[in-house]
Amino acid sequence: MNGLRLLVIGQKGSGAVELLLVTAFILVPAAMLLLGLPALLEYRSLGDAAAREAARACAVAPDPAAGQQRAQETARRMLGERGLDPQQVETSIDCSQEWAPGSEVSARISYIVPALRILGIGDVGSVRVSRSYREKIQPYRSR
Amino acid sequence: MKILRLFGSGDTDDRTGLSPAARRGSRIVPGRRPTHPTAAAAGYPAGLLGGQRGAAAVQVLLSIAVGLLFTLTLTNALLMLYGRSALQHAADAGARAGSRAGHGNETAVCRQAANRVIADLAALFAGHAAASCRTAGDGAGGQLVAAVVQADLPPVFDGLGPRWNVTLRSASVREPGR
Repeated sequence: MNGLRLLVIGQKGSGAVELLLVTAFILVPAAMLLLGLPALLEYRSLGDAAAREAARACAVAPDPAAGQQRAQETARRMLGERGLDPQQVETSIDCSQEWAPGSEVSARISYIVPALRILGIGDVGSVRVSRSYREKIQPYRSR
Repeated sequence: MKILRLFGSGDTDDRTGLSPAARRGSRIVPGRRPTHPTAAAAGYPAGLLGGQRGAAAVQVLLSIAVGLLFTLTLTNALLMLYGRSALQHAADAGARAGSRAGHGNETAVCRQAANRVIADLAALFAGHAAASCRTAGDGAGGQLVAAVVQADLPPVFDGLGPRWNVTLRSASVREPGR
């Protein structure tokens, strides 16, 4: 009985319990949060790459129709290769209207990604990422 | 002891440092070190388990050990994330370099550029990553140079975390007429 009383109201082992609680409820969640942050930067970088290549595909195409199609395909491929569902992505590529030697074409990629990816737990919230890129078509190009 | 006396605790035993109440619960045997009252009540022997002498040192030691382990593990994970990001950049750089190379040289230039970036930015993982390149159609009549970097990233502080196997891809539209 005395031993039980000591176990309940004594302070023996409180340091170990505090250490365990701090590790479980502060350190580990903070680490998970910290490790999840680079994912958002990666999504931005992915959007940059897809928009850049889509704009280039349009700029080096022999004609606007082919440019539009190639740009769409390239963007879809790049996003798909890095784990984004291309069906969830909005692409806006104005290859057909702006296409002319010396002019600039642009591509805009927009998609929704998790705002916070907590490692081992899941995704929290969502945020829209939009990236765009402009590419100049060579003014003296031959088709 | 003098300080305690100033505040009216004159009953404290000079030899044991215990108050009369504490002395009542303790096992004081002449010539032996007294047992802490709570420890005595719990039936523990004096010394290693009974007293609280050195408890702070043990706590500090444990806290430092856990903190250090946590910091090193976190550093490991962040370095691996950085390595992955650098390898993705290597794939991007390789594909872009290959897309501007002359006909027939695309894959060689691509691989060379990717390996250069790996050596420069991800030197920690250089021996564990390999770049490969190929040309491919974009599905709409155009040509792409595709780069793939495969790596088996080891933890920088060995033993603190698992290895991480990553495959990073990139592609770039090939310049026509080259």
